[in-house]
Amino acid sequence: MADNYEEMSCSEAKELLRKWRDDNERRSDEVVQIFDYCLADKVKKLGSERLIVLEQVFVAALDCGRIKLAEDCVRVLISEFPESLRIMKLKAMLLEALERYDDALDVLESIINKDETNAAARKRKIAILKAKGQISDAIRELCDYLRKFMSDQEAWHELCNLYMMEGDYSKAAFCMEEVLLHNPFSHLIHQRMGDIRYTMGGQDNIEIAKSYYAQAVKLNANNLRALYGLYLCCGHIVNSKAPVNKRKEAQKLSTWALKKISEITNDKLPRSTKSSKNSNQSNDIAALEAAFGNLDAKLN
Amino acid sequence: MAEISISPKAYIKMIFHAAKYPHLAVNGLLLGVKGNEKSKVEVVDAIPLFHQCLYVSPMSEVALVQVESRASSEGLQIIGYYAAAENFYDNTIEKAPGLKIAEKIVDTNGSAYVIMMDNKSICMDMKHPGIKSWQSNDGKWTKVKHNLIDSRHTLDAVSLLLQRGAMKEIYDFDNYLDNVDDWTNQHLNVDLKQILSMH
Repeated sequence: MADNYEEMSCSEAKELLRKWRDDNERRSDEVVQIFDYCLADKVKKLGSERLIVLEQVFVAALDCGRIKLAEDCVRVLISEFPESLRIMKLKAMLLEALERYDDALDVLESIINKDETNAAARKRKIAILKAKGQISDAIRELCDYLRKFMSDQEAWHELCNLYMMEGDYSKAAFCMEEVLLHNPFSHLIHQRMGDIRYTMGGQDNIEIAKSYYAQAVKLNANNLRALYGLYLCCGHIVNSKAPVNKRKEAQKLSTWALKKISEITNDKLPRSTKSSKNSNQSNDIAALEAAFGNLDAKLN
Repeated sequence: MAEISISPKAYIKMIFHAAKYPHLAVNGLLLGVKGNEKSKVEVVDAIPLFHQCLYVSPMSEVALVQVESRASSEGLQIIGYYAAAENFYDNTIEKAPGLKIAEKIVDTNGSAYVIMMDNKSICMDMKHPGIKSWQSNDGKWTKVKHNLIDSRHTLDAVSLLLQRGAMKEIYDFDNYLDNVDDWTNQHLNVDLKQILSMH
């Protein structure tokens, strides 16, 4: 990854920005740097991508607090598409960045009045509530939004985060389950479900968490969080009043998880530091074993 | 009431962690020397923990165990918790994300300190530390004074480093879980030692 954007040519810059747009990577700091160094005075060379690059740079400029740059970008976009709702949304984002929330809300309301199906404007209104710290209002509005736009995964994910901020883990779990329905093979979502259930606590939730973590590991054996999660859940089950066969199974699974964790953490160490780091890593593992109970003791 | 001193290394690591993820909440642990008298507490080091999903507990349990074990091997112990909120304006203890971790530290060690970063104060030219500190007190958190050691030089150093984008060099526990990066930041500790001795 070249940190040296000064030496980049216009076409390389164009290529890089396109890649980030396609992969949905925000990278605001870098986008603004690239624009400053390579593209600012060569905007016309961007050809057919000029306007979409300006939109990308606009959002990046807002993220970096470069209001003047954002205003310059949006001015060009407005002159090209004076009636566009997409551009109006950008205007609203600019007002949000300036913390002129009431003006931003007016612009968003007018977008929604012109087009009831415009999801983006509704979500920006919720973002404003979140920025103002009005989390319970944001939750209420987001629930309303989801009644109309039920398959918006991003919204379910956001609602999950908001519920977790308020400590309402059971509702957060419900939201994450909706995301899981859209992504049944995502090891990350299974692992996140495991995290939420584990946090809720209690024997049943730990069992459920264990199955989510196990599924995550099945989908990606290198998911270190899922392996640790599996280890923790099995530790709880072994130390609980569950029937002996369940506890034995949990112990086997726990030993396996710990072994995988050691393999992964030892594997990724650079060769030169292996000897000293190795002992550190094995101390970390030993500390885990000590803290989460001697697994053998309770099974006799 | 006890005042806590904060070492330049700990302070810079906290600021780096917050600056590396300006759009997210971050948190981490504070380390101090074992068995210090209550009146002379110094935060010797800071261990950055998470920037993703601070509200779930399993990884923080793993982190607490591993950090305690490593700290112990260096004669240190976990004495507190630091956090920076996602919302730009939140800088009070009521808004501290993941405060459960701090409560866990109180349960284990009897007492803990909490440092909240004041997001508004973090900039490329730091004129004052921009943090607030609390101490556990019988189930409540009471404000406590803090003192940044060698503050003039530390603030100059951190401002210069932020301008150069040095905050990208710090690794937290989330980075370790994703890529097995070094959450103890050995390389950064060495670099910071050199830089601070030059100032």
